[in-house]
Formats: sequence, C-alpha cells, structure tokens
Amino acid sequence: MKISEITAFYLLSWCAVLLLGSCTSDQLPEPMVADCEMNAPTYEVEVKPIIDESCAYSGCHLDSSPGRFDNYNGLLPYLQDNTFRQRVLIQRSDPTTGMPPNFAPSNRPLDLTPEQLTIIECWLNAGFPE
Amino acid sequence: MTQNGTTTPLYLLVLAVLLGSISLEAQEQVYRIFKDSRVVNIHSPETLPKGRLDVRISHRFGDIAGDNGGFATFYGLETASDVSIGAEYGVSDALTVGLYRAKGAGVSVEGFPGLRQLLNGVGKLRLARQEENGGAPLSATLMGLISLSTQEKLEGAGNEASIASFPNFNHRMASHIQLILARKFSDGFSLQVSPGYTHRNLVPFEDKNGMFSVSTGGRIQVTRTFGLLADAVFPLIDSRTSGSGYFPAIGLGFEFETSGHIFQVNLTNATALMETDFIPYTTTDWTEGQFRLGFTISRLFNL
Repeated sequence: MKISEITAFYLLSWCAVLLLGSCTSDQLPEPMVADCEMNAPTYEVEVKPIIDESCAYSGCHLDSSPGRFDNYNGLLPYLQDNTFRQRVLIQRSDPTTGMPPNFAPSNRPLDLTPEQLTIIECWLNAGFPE
Repeated sequence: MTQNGTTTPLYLLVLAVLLGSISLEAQEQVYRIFKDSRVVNIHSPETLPKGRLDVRISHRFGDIAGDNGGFATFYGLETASDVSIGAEYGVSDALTVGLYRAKGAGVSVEGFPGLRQLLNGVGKLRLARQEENGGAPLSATLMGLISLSTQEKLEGAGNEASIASFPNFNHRMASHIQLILARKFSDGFSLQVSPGYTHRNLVPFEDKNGMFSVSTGGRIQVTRTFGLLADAVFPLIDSRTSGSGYFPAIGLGFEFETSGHIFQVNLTNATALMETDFIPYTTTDWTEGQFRLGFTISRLFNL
C-alpha cells in the first residue's frame, strides 16, 4: 500500500470509531391500539368528511390517483383488500406511500390528526360500516 | 573476450531473465473481476481508478405480479419502490468514496416503514488484489455504508411506534460493513462471498439492532460487452429465518458495457437499494410475484 492509502485507511478507521461512538441499540415501543369502546364511527357521519378533505379532491383520489373516494362504493375495494389501512395507518410515516402524502397541495392536510386516526382505525376495526 | 569470459555472463544473464520473468509473472494482478462496482443489489470488490468519477442512477419499480402488481400497475412500471442518484470517486486506486440520495423503501413484516429520505455515504478500500501464478488467490475489499435519514421528525401522540419519531438524532442512522472476497476463475466467470454486519440504531418493536449476513454473487461474461449477473443476501439472525415474513434479497440481471457507460437491467425481490435498507427489510417474496424490474446507469468521467 502507498502512504496515501495508509493515511486514508487510518482516516476511515477514525470514521468507523466515530460511527461506533454514535451507535445506539434502541427499540420502538409496541404500537398502540386505539380504544374504540366509546367510538363507533360510520362512513356517512364521521369518516366521509375526513376523506373528502384529505383524499377525495381534484388531482388525487377523485379524478387522478387510483380509486374514486368521494363515495362508499368507490372506497370499498381498497377497504376490502386492506390497502386503505396499510396506506393510511400503518405506512403513514412514509413521505410518499403514506396517505395523505407529503406532496399533497398546500391547501390540503399532509397528515391526519390523532383524533382522525382514531376514528379511521375504529371504523376499520368495526368492519367499515356505511 | 575469452570463451570462459563469454559463457559465464551469458549463463547468468539468461538465469536473471528467467528469474525476472518468473518474478514478474508472480506479480501479475487480475483486474476487473467484475465490470462494475455492484453485482445486482450488493457491492462487488471493484474500486475506481484514481481520479475517476462514477455517476450512478438506480431505479427499482413496483411488484411485477402479486397483490400490488399485474395490469393495474402495468406490472410495476407505474410505481417506484426506490430510486437512488449519486456518485463515487476514486481517491486512489485502492480507495473509493461516494455519496447517494435514496428514497428508502424497506418495511417491517408488520408493514411499518424503515428509514426514509436517505443520505448514504459509501467507502470502499481494496485490501488485496487477486494475482496469477501462485500469488494472492482472492481479491479482498472492505466496504462501509452509513445511511442518514433526512425525513422530518414526526411529533405528537400516535407516532411513538414510528421510526420517524426519531427520539434522538442517532436514531436517523444505520450502518453496514462487509468484507468482499472475490475470485475470477476464468475470463468468463467470477464469484464473490461477503460476510457483513448491519446495525440500525432504532428498530421496530421486538426487532434486533444488529445482524450478521452473508452474501454471494457471480458474473458470467457472455460476449465482450455483455454479462449475466446474480446475487443473494442471507441475514444470519433468528428473526429473519424462513417463515418469519422476511426473505433473502435475490437479484438476477444482465449488463451492457459501452465506452464509459455500464447499463444494468435486473429483476429482484428487494424493494430498496441500500444495504442498510434491503438487508433488514426485505419482506417481498419471489414466489408470490413480488419481484420487480430495476436498472442502473453508470457513467464514468475522468477528472
């Protein structure tokens, strides 16, 4: 090895030591399950306003993205194949696949509120009543 | 010159040339065990020559078949699982450094996303080069990767179980190191084996932060400019065994080499492009049709 390569190797070694110094071994807590005992939402009353505001608008799940989410029947296939739960609840922290996405228009929500998420989760758990 | 005076120096000269040629032959090094710095998903032992810049763009589409593939997504071509753009530079013939931006794509078996919006620093140090005629039988390269998520921190109730809650800054990071041992068995066939270790500073509930893995890759040269590639990565940890919902990342591909370009097309079940992402987070299964088309374009510049 040449001198420059040995120097570079030592630099890399120091980087590795610094990296080891920044290592942690932490684990996330168990995901919380929503308390739905006092919460029995239906599509028409609680859920549709959330979806109309956050999903079913022009340029998204109304005339552009897959599915027409301004009515129950348009939403149903995505409820039945679990895609809706995956995208809205489980993958919600993903900037692009989590719904609503981080590239939503500025006049639309980028995230659902904790209260809205609880309504959606309880509604899905109850079998998405209309 | 006397007869004795000529025969002795000639004999010594011939001996010296023979010894010299044997010595030179013993030091003859094997170059380009692989044509590119990657096999399909994993790094090959190749480092860049000093002063060479390699600009690379890689893409992985969506599932070709299965629940998320088929005609609805035109066999994955209308969805992108991961994209990376970046460059590597040869600091010396033995040391290559690189920086990449990648979207990030891995998910846990429960469906929770791993790290997203990644900056990835890559370093490769060539430790030994394969030699012919009784020299070093293998090439050895050390590869290190550090990934840093630049995703916005998720605050508030309900996000505690998300990786992007980032309780502290270190939780944005994951790292991977591997030793790449490779041999060119003939002009047409090369093989590599790579033990590796991946560490994630923050993991989902009941997952492990560190994991060893072993990967293997091979290349068959079909014509002067066309080669076939295959690789596989096997995590060596109880939580990634068969039936766990996690799968080895397996890639098949081919590559064309033109002047200054390498163009690779592949099929792989790995959704992600970086080792810190696809080794711990491949939950897609070849047998369920959850494999995708991918490609990499590499353009070399002399600086």
